[in-house]
Amino acid sequence: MSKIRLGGIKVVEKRAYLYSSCRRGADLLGNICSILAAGRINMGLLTHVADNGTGESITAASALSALRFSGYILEVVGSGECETAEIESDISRISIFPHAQRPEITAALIKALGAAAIKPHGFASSPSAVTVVISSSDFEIAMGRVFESFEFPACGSYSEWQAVCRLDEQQLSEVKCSYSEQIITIYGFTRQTGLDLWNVSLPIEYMSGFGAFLSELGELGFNLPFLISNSAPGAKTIQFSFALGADRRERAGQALDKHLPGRDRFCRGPVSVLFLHGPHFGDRYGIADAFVTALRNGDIPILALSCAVSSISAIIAGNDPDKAIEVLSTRFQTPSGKRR
Amino acid sequence: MGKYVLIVDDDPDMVDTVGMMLESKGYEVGKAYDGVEGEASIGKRRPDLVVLDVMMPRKNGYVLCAELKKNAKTKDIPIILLTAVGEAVPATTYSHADGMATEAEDYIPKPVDAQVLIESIERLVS
Repeated sequence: MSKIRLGGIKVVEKRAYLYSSCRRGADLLGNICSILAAGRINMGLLTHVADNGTGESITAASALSALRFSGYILEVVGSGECETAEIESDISRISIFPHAQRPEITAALIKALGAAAIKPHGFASSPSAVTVVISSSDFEIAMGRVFESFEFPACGSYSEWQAVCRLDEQQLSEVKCSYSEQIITIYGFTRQTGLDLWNVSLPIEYMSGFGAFLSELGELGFNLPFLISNSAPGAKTIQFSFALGADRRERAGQALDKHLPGRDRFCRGPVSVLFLHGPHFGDRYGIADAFVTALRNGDIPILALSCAVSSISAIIAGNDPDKAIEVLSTRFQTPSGKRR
Repeated sequence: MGKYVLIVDDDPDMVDTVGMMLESKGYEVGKAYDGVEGEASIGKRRPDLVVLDVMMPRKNGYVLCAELKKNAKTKDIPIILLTAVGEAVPATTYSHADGMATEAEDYIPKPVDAQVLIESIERLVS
C-alpha cells in the first residue's frame, strides 16, 4: 500500500484526558471552559457535541494532568450535573497535517489504528490538522502504524522521529511568551455553510468500517471540514460527529449503509462551521471560554465544537453565521490593517 | 507562474491561513513546519522570499534567519519575520531587540494583517 505524503506530524505525550457526558441541556461545555479559564489552565484539546442523536451531550478535554480537572470534578460532577466523568491520566495526542478536508486522510489514520486494535479516546479536527487521542500505552504501536501509512518530510520513520523530532517535556511545557490583550486578536473568521452534521455511534470493532466509509467519501471527492469523536475510557462504543455538504446527504447515507449497515446515525441540517484561528491558541488558557461565553451570551447554541492545534471549529445551526461572527467580535478582533 | 514564497511556521493552521492568502494573490507557495525543514526546503529550491516564524522547535526563526544571511548563496533572499513578540506579548524568551537585530528585511507582529503582509511581500519581491 502506498503511503500518503503529508506535511508534518506533531505529538504531545503524557497528558490527561477528561470525558464527561450529561443529558442534553446541562452546560458541561460552558462549565469546563469557565472553570479551567478561571484556574489559568490551558486545554490542549477540547471537543463537544450537544446532542449525539440520543439526547446525550458529550464534552471531552485534554490538559497537562488529571489534577487540572479537579476543579471541574468538584464543582460540576459534585453538583450532579454530570452523568459521567472519567479521566484517563496518561494519553498522547498525535496530529497530522495538512488534511486539506480530504476524508481519506482521516480514513487512513482510523484504519491504521484499527489494524493494530487500538481504541482511540477521541478525534478532533482543525482547519489543517486531524488529531487522535490514544492511551500512552498504545503510543509506540500507534506511531509505528502512522509511519507505515503516512510519510513526512521531517522524519521518515518512527525511529527517526524519536531521534530528531520528538519534543521533550521541557520543550512542551516551557512558557515562551504571555499575552496581554483586552480583546483577543485573531487572524480572522472563516466559514463554510450548506452543511449537515452527522452523528454515528458504533461498537469499537466497527471502527475500520467507519474508516472504509470515509475512504469512499474521499473517492467521491467529498470534503470533510469537521470531525470529532469521543469514547469513554473503557467503553466499547465510539461516537463520531462530522460535517459534510448537505447536497451529499443521500450519497453519504448510501455509503454508511454499505459500510456500517444497521448502525445508529443521526443527521441534521442545514448547519455551518465557523473557524477561528489565532496565535498560540493551542497553548493559551481562556480562549475557548471567551468563544463559548460570547456565543452563549448571544443565544447561539454550539451544536459541536473542536479546539485542536491552534484553531476553534464550531458547528452552529443554519446557513447564516453572520450573527455568530457579530457576537464573537465582542471578544475577538482582527488586526486593524495598520502596523502596530 | 507567480513568485515563489516559502512559509516556515510550526503552526499548520497558520501556514494554511497565510498560504491561502498568498495563493489568492497569485503567489506560488511552499510550506515547511520547522526551521530545519525550512532550511532543507530552501536548499532544494530557492524561494523569492521567506515568511519565517520565530518560535519553532528544532531551529527557531532567529537562528535560521541569521544562518541564511551569513550564507553567500542565500543572503539575498528577502525574509519577513512573523512573531507574536510585540505589544500584545510583553513577556517572552524571544526578545523584540533580538528580532530587530537580525538582518531580516521586515518584522511583522502576529496575528498578521493580510494587507500589511501582502504590501511587504510585494515591496520585497518587486
